[in-house]
Amino acid sequence: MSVELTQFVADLNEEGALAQVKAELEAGTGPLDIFEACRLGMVEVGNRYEANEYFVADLMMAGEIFKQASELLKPSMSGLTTESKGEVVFGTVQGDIHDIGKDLVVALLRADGFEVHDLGVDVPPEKFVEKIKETGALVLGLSGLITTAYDGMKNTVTALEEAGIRDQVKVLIGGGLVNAEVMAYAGADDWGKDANQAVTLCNKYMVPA
Amino acid sequence: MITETMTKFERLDAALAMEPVDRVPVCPMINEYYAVKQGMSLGDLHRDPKAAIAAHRKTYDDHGGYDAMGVGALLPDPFPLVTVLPTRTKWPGVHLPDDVRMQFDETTPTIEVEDYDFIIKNGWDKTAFKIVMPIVYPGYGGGLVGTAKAYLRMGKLITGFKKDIKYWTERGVPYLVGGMTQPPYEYLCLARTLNQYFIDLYRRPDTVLEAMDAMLPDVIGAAKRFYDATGIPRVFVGGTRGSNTFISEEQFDRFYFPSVKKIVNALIDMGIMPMLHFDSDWTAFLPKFLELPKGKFFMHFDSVTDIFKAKDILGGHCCLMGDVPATLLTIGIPQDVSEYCKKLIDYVGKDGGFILAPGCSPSHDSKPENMQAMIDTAKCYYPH
Repeated sequence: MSVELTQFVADLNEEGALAQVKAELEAGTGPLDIFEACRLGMVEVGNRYEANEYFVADLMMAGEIFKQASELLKPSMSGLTTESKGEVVFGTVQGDIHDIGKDLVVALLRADGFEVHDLGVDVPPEKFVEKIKETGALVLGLSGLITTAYDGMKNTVTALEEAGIRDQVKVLIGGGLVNAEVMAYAGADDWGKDANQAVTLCNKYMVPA
Repeated sequence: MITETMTKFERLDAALAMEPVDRVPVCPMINEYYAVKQGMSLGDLHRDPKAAIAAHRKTYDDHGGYDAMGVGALLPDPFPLVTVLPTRTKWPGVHLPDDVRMQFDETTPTIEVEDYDFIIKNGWDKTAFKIVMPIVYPGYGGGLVGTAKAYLRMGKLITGFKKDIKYWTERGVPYLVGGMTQPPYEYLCLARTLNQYFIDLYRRPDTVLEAMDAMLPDVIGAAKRFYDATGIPRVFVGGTRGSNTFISEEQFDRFYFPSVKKIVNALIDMGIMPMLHFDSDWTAFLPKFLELPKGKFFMHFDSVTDIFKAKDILGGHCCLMGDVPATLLTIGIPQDVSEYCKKLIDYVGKDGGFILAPGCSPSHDSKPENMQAMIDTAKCYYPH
């Protein structure tokens, strides 16, 4: 596996990373191995974020590099599957259209090997319920940037209860104005202070209840 | 109630100068809250500016008054903000339901990579009028007719703003700030979208730096124009995306702080006291602000920066303002609000140089009893 490629991704060296992906493909390296090298680079990005060496701007650049590398690998990967860590349903709640934080989390989750069903923004509670029922996902991530989102989160949890599936899913909340008090208000199971913590929490809760 | 021995003007000036006050001033920085408090929807706020201004005034009276006004009176027609917030924005009653507050739509940029050259050659004002305005406000900006329309609309709004300042001055209530600007980085980060701008910092850092240098004269000019129009010697300088939430210290030193220093020093030279309204987490960068002239600027935080650490580092160097959290004002209870305000008054208000305020501005759905608790605590509690 390409240590250089992992290093390029971790160092946010876009030119180096994409050139290395192309070189590896030409050399006949298996695309799943190249993808895994990129993914390990993203894991290191996450580690550096936790260590306060990287910040949101760096996560965004990492996401961009990973996205482009994935595009280069797509033609060779058709028909091949990477092992999924599990399914997560994600979205910004009703009344809130902000998506930058949500998109960052979704990108990091996908890089970490989760299958993410991104329902977009301003998502009504019943849509979340429907998708959880359809996929059997064990984790539901609710994003919101404004105080209006608090009721969107609370209403979604209530909708899960009314559908009789609240116990089957862990509800995680995140966004600019989210904290432990908001988690209690909404009836969620946990909350994340930043995008990287969303990945940690999904890994923690990706076990059957 | 503490016996007051100062006028609101004297109290504010003393707090900003870090001199003794009869009590800590409180400035609630009210925006959409004033409309909702009076039973209007957020859509009504923008549809009926006259009713909105009346609601703003009644809200002040309903709460028994406070020490300074924010720029909430500009909210009914936010058109002038387009040069400061150069991104697509969705408004209640127009793009959103009546009870959903305004939100940025950063799905696509208003400034493309190719437009950096235009900014470098022409500065920000021309860019805002020619490129950004027609996207954010179709029919305005662009060519001659659109630009004339824009100036007419802005002129009308500034006239209204000056009337509101006169009303409050006659009532003995100072306006905290009389205008707005922000570092070039913040304009570009909105206009390019946050995601694309951060990628620009990696892909084309020298181009971004050159564009930001070219924008500085207009950014400073905007503050001067407001000052000339309103006479208020304080201007809001907004910052969010240059914080440690988003970038490293190295990126801050390279892309952000140099222009903050230039803007602050230029405004001070013109007799303006900049209010650095800095949202998100600036805690790690706080020592940098010791490089700015002592007593000539003040800082407002939004409860993400550690304001208690800010007092440790910047106490005696500049006045601090904040930081009752939005969560506390919306889902908290009055007793908890009051306890937190007392904690702020005791620590951040010690030896002066403090204005009690919400973090940023209070959410439209803040509970009135919580807002009252904040205001009353300032009027009744002296630093211990």
